Amino acid sequence: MKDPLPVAQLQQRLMGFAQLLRAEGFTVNASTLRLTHEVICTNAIENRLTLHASLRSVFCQSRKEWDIFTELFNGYWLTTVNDSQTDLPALDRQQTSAGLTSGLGYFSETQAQQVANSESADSQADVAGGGASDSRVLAQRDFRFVFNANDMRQIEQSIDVIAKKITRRTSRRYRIANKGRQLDLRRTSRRSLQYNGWTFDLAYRTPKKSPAKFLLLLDVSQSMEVYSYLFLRFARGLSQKFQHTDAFAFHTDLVPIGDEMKEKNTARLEQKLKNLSTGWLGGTKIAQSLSDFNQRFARTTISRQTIVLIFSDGYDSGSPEYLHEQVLQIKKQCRKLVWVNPLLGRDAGPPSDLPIERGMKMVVPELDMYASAHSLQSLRELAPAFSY
Amino acid sequence: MQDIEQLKSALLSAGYVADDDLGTVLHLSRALQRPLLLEGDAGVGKTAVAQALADAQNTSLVRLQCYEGLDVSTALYEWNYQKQLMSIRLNEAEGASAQVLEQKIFSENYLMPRPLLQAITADKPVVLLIDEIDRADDEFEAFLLEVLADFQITIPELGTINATHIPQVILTSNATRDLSDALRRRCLYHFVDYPDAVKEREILTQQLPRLDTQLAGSIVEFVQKLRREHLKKTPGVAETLDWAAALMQMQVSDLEHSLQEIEASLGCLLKTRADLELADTDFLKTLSNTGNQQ
Repeated sequence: MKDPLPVAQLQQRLMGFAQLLRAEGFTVNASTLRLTHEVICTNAIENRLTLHASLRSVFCQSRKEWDIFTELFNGYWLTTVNDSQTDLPALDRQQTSAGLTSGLGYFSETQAQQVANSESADSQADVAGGGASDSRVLAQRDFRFVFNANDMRQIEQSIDVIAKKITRRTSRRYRIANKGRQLDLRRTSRRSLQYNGWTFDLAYRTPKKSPAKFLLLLDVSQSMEVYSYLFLRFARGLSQKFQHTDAFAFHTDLVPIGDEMKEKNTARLEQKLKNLSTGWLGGTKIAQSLSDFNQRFARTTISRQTIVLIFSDGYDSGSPEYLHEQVLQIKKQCRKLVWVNPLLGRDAGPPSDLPIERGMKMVVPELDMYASAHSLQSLRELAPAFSY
Repeated sequence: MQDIEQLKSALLSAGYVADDDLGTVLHLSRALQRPLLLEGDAGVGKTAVAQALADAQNTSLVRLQCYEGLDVSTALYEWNYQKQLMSIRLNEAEGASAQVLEQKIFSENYLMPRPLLQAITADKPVVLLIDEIDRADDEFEAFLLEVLADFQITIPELGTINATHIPQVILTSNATRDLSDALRRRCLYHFVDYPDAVKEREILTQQLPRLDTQLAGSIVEFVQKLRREHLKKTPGVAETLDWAAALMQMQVSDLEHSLQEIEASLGCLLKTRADLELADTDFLKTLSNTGNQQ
């Protein structure tokens, strides 16, 4: 029998787990947390099995929750606790980054971190192993070089926060005609009732905020493998914050994922994405996919108020002119076109004139913003992209 | 862990095969003095948990069977009106004052404790089974919250009675209606599902030691297949045990060649007319054929 985890360490992890359950719709309140604390202080918790059984009895309150609990438990605990400590039947760990090519089955944190962990084996020398990184360093670190599971979790959480922090835009009319406050006659006359019709108390109009509209086009090809998971996560945060957000994934084909991104349950989301993910992490046909989008979806998803964000490294196997043409077509219909290229922040290699680079060279002048999002810091700097 | 193992083996001695999860939850319920809510279909062995737990802990089981219209007087206490009336008559004849009379007839001698009061005033901790709580009304559920929170009962004529020992409370529910969040929050939760083949075979062997091992295997396989069908009432463990006992009585040694006996005893497993109509000879032949997996 292995030594049990120290209570303090377990408590800290439990808080994270409780947050995950709350996000998945479980009722987790102060009394649940107190009960959880009481449970872990008993001598019952000695291994994963007893921890699982105990937490399930505390957090679950219905059959529905009971059915999804184990999946969430495995998803959370197998990534944060050392594998050597586990005595649960090992999950299928064959899904290395190479093994993922058959489909994007890595939306859940478990699998994302498995990817990170498997890559760390190849490049241990590059990184300082061990505990959590300093948050400042982490913010600037390229997502490619995040191998520590805790760091990955921090990044994922930060991405969720960034996506949800993007504020609603202020109505344009008020920003332009901001020459003083406007009187709200209706509310003023209502207020005057208490003064026998005398208008002592004036009411002013306050600027209303209208929801932003976003369209996200996410490259999920092999070359974007390290980043696409995080961008999908970002897209999910954005989709859940803003009602008028639509999303499409593309590789050699275009797949609408807008409805899936609105799914709050991670397990169900992962399942939905798995069903859609044939061919993901394969080759890329950006121009072809954008053309497909322009023909089939643009009319219903883009308006003059839509901000279009394309998350892609720009590696296209088609002709540069064709890509330019498709981007221009999107540009004509939307409010703002932003291209987020994670390769932009990397140390640039010698300039080349390969078709894949020529494509981007032609496209960049058409963009309203060309930004990198290879690290948390660069993702935060994307803020201007979300304003009109 | 040792406690959990001990509890599991005590339950096994009492005739209940508990898995690790249930063992852990029962242990926690005892250690934290929290009620345990067992939810699951009818016949999966929820009530049996409480009975076995009481046996395992060598204590008594106090059972409150819930039903629609269950009121506090049936669950908590009642005054013995006949006895009180008789006492009034006798004391009137002796010329006792009304005040003395009142004090006398509203004393513990005239109180009839019902399950909840019995459980909290018992000499040693008992197992309190509140069975099929989903059948009780919302009002009773709300009242139960109070009792389970403080383990004290107020009788206006006598005052507040505090629990001498806190009972281990097991609530069962067939999920025929949603229980309130407040009740669920106060309880540990465990969903009792139909057992898998291995566990069900173990239960059969445990409950019916004289049952032939091979026949037990065939019975379990038959029932497991039957549960996969779209039945109106899926047979639970209780039905499997009844059927196995019936087959033993009919001296069946091999299911595959006892189609007639199966048909005759099918009422032990299937409890609705629609389900019985579904189970024609071909259907039963397929289920009883142990080599032919569906």
